[in-house]
Amino acid sequence: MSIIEIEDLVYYYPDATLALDGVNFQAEKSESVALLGANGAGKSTLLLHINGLLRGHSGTVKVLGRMVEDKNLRWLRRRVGIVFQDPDDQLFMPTLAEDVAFGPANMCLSEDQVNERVNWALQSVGLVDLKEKASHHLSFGQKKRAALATVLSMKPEVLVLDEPTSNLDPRSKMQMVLLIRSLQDSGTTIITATHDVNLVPYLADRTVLLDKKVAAMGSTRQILGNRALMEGLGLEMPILADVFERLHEENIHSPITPMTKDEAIDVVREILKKNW
Amino acid sequence: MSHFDPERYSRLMSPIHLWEPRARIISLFVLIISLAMAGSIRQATVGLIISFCLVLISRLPFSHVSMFMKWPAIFLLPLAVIVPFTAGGDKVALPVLSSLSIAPSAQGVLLGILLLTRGLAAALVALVIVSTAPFTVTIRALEDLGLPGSLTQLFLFSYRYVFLLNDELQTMSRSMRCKGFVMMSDLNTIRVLAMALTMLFIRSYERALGVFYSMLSRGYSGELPGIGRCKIKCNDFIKSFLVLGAALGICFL
Repeated sequence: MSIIEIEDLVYYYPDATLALDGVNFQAEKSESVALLGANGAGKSTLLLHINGLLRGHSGTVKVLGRMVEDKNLRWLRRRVGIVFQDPDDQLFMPTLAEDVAFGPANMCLSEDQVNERVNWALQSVGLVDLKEKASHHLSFGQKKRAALATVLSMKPEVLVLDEPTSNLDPRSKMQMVLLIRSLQDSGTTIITATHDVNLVPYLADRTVLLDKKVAAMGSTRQILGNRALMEGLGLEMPILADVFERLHEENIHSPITPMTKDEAIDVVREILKKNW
Repeated sequence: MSHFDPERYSRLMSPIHLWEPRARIISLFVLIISLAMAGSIRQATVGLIISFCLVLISRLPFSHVSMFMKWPAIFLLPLAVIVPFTAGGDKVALPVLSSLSIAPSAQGVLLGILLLTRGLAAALVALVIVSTAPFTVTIRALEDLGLPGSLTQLFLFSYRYVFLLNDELQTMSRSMRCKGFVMMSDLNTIRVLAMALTMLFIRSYERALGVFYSMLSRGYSGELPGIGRCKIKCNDFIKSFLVLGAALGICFL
């Protein structure tokens, strides 16, 4: 059974603009899926449907086998955590600790359990020393990690991330990727909407290209390595894949199109060995 | 990151800062009432001395106190000057004012001094209440004392987003200056400022929507969870008894 099943989802914005035009999408347990698409492709809108914050005009959304509908919303929000693109939307309580405790406290856990979860979540994102700080005194990178902690503390089975690495410095980006992968290893299903094509190979096994509807879906390598598909949707290939695809056009063949730095180093070694 | 920090003295370690917020608010509020009811200059003076002592104990810096106190002083000083001339009673002939044919009354002078003294004393105690704990702690304490939950949430969220609006405002003002905007006293300046303010409202609305979604996604159903509230300890009671004793003392002086 798929953890998330979306069928023929159609959604219009209040001004009658079509945002989602019959989206079909599934995600399996412990899978990390990237949602890629140009601006206005409907990525964030789709994510809001998974948590029941928006409801489609037609089509169905199922999470863990249950339909997303009013009677299931409380159940759903314990299982699906969503991290918004702008961390200031997510940090509304006076202190970081209270923000991280907000979700678990709404789950009616005991005070000890809430405190335990707050410490665990803040430790996971490396902010435990700042727990008593007010959110508005955190740096942007810290706010991004804090926003993730506010959802981690609910220990959701599905984690939905909207641009988790936007505006982060390279080190913070890689820390975020490592965190996402470790959550996936512990059994969490992760759906990430992002523009950062260079980071997708590091954080997702499967990629979905969205353009109001699903334009393509497949393994990350298969999707990101398809220049025509990517450029057709106004996206770029990851820089490494782009370089090696161009070399391929100049008859400098590599066994695979590398997506990560390690793969690229191996491929360069291979090419050098062949030519020397 | 916002560097705007109106609470920078709320995290000191004075006995007033360490006083349990609910006990502190109730005790100091009773003291303010007793100061407001002081009917004689003697009572008001004792009240002012007690208020000064509380400020000293709270270790609030003089610069902070003077900055806050200038506003009540600006309001009260004209009152203290006008009341002697408007209140009835025995007129005191002042050679300086004889040419203007106006004379203050002795009772009016006393009333003016009384108003000024008790006003400043009450303002000092109010300063101690608001400056010795973060705003959110004070609001939570007020909720525990019976402030409706919806009002508490309104205050808490407004306070949190004041910082964001301040950041937005600064960004917008920087951007306007980059594009050559110079503040002048003309119609164009008013028009530009009005449009900037409108944009700020629109952004605030979008922000509010984002926050609301975020709250819903984390199980919000109309109430804020309260975690980690302080308990009133023995020394909090002692501090409260001392202040309540002082308040009663002022009343029966």
